[in-house]
Amino acid sequence: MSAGLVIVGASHAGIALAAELRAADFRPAITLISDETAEPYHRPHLSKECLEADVPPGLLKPAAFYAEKAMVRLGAGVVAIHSSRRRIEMTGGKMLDYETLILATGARARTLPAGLPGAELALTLRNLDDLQRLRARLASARRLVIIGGGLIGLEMAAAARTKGISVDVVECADRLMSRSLSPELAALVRERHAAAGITFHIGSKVRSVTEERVELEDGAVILADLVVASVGNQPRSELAEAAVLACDDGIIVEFDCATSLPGIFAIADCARWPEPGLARGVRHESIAPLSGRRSWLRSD
Amino acid sequence: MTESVAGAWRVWECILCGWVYDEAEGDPDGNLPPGTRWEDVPADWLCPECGAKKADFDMRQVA
Repeated sequence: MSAGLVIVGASHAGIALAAELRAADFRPAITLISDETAEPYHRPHLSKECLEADVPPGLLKPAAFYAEKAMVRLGAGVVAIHSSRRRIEMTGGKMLDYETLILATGARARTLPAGLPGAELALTLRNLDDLQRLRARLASARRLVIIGGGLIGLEMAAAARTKGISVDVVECADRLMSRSLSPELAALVRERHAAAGITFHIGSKVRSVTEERVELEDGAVILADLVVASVGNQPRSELAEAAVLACDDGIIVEFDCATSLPGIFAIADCARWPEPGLARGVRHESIAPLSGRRSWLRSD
Repeated sequence: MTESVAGAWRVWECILCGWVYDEAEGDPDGNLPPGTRWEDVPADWLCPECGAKKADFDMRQVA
């Protein structure tokens, strides 16, 4: 297969980049590789209407889009980057050459600390497989405990509440949504959720999880037949680390998303972007400032 | 299809993420050709940036 642009990860950032490049008349081959087999979908829907109404997530692009734009989609995991040969290795041993490699591998849901008793019992939500698992459990659940009072935890809480399930939310900080909302707005959100019948345990840490209950560090016990952890995410940077790209809680990139190796770029959730004034930069799903910086891509 | 609205192209903005829908440009990647009036955008169309539904958009003041 001829070398061209290869994008690892067919979620929002990878698809958006491919679409922008074609819109800018970028003509070389574009290959999108994903270990998810479903049509690329809007991930934010998973914790909203997909849970509440059991509908599938909306598609990022119409199904015909990829063929129309001459994009090849491969359903495979990528197991190694052979950067000196500009080649990636996929599951099953198949190789693919690239001229430019874009890592858009995203993030995975953070799980509860391994040392926490019962940590493995808590489900997480990040992809369609997680959604199906969670839906199946919600169908028979009576009492749900959500660990983590951030945006996604609260969306799941609201969705579960509409199904008549008893919902408790445990948050270790002194208020909800401390990373995304002001105290005033967070208080309003809490009021709305409380009015819907959701019980909050603020400033509380979990001591243990079992099949029947969650115990808090202050000794309180919450009965639960389903526990979901919504405690942030972690970059999927193992592939880059194995290829000896510089990483520090994300693949370290420059302002143009270049990694420490030539021909390899990283965008969005898996990348750590420089931010003046912040020693470690930032990691954010919406950082893919490529549309205005195409000089690094050959358009021949 | 509803009857087209006469007049200048209008611009709409997603109130969740700020993505802009310009009727003159449409959303070709989302099967909406340039010149698609907002009234003709189907209800199940989604914001290409954040996945919000058509109902989550708002009219933006055009200079």
